[in-house]
Amino acid sequence: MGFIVHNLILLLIYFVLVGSYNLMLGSLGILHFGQVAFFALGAYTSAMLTLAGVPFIIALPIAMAVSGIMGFLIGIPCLRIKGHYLALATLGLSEVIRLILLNSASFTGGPIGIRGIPKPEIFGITLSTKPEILLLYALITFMALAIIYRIMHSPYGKVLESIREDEVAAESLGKNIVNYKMQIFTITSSLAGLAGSMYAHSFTYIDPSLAKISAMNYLLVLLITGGAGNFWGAIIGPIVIVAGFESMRLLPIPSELVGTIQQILYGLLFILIILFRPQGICSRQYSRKKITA
Amino acid sequence: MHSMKYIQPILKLENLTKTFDGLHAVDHCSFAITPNTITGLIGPNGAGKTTTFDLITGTLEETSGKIYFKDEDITHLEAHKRARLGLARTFQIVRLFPELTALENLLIVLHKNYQNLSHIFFKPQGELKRLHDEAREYLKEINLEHHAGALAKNLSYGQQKLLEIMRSVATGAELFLLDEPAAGVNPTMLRHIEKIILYLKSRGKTVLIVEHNMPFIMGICDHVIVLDQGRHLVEGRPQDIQKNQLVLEAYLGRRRPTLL
Repeated sequence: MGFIVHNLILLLIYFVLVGSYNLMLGSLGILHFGQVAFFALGAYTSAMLTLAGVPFIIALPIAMAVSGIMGFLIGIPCLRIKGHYLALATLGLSEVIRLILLNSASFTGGPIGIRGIPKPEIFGITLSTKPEILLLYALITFMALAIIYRIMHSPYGKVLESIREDEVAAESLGKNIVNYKMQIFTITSSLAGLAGSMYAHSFTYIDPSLAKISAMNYLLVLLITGGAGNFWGAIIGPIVIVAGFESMRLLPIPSELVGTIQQILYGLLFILIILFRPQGICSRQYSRKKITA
Repeated sequence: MHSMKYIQPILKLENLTKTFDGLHAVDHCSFAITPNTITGLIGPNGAGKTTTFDLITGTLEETSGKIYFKDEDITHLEAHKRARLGLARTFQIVRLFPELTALENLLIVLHKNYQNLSHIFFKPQGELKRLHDEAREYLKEINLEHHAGALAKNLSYGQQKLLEIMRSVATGAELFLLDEPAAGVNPTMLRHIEKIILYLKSRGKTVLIVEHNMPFIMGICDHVIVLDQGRHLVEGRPQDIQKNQLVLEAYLGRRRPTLL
């Protein structure tokens, strides 16, 4: 039971993290590697604030704001120019953030990380058991996903897709593409901060490995397996992979081998998806309401 | 015949210059476009026609010179702002949104007032529906009403070309820059495109066309401007341009003095 609830909480966090990443990679078609950095930033901000006595309900939006502002600042130089500068800059950002977390030991606990992060508390009630946290997080996730869904299924979201399809044409039709990119990148990074905060307060332990680039690869596998550009892709991907891989622990495999086998399977799955179904389980066109003549 | 009344040009270029690594693609080019006319912009390959278009729409940044649109200096305005002022264009190689449907390609334009972040929660359903119907009307005009849900990339080249022109028409712009609308389309499609251009003129719009198809240009244009090596060579009525010695030389080369 505990095992299942634990994984359900993890799944909700992935929905927010991968769902928001989907706005950048799926809708806008812009690759960036900063999602885990914004995630770690949100987790540390929220953890340190609550340990300093700030209530969870205030620490959470501050964590979102810190990650969002970081995204905005990175976006200013990188999203104004055409090309893959954002991918490069965010690759650097992830490493810089990880190294700062690792080396400023007096501040962040260094490689040991932060332990004993308070459980979420709302209006004086501390949610100390996992099912209670699951309930709260389901609510938060629902709201975050509602925003993502509305963005993707609105005239606004269609403009994002048009920018993905052809920037020059979109611009020639009067779309301020820099504005759209900045807005989405800020939203994406602040939602990653939200996911980070959720993670910190449910697992109560964080360390600099949250910002590892291998974690970013994992997110990419989740989204691309599910189907980038389709809202449901960011739901199906984590469900299939987390459920599939975690259930391996229930199989009679020596526990010290599970991790290794999982790593091999990720790689294999990624190669197979790219080769045989590059659009992922839910393809982009599938999400479109059928328009009949 | 010639009225002395001075009509304010809708578009005016002053000494417009664009240099690529020392090559003058557009070289101190100046001309003005009269409102509610169809003007052809012709010249041999490499004359700088498309570069001129890119400079006018803001896709490229000029090296020097000025561009005025409706008396406003737009030289340093970003491309999307110029579009919002009433400039629309099509491209030499069709630039639709390939993975969006034919209908969505038009809706990107027609939904322009409902594409802010604030509209994700506040959706004026009635108005969106009305614009949806309007998009279908546009599709009907180009016989694509049965392909509304088809991805743009799956349409035939001619259909894509028509859709791109319709998408620019849907912007409601005042000045249309069409880059080789006749290239690679069959005669039936060409008549269709011609009809759309004449319709635009009848609605008080101004059209500037880059084109190599001379019968098409000479038949439809009120005025023709000839560029050669980035420079404004000559301009005038189509029938005069056809006989102009400078134009013939630009296209065919100078006649060598004969030995005998």
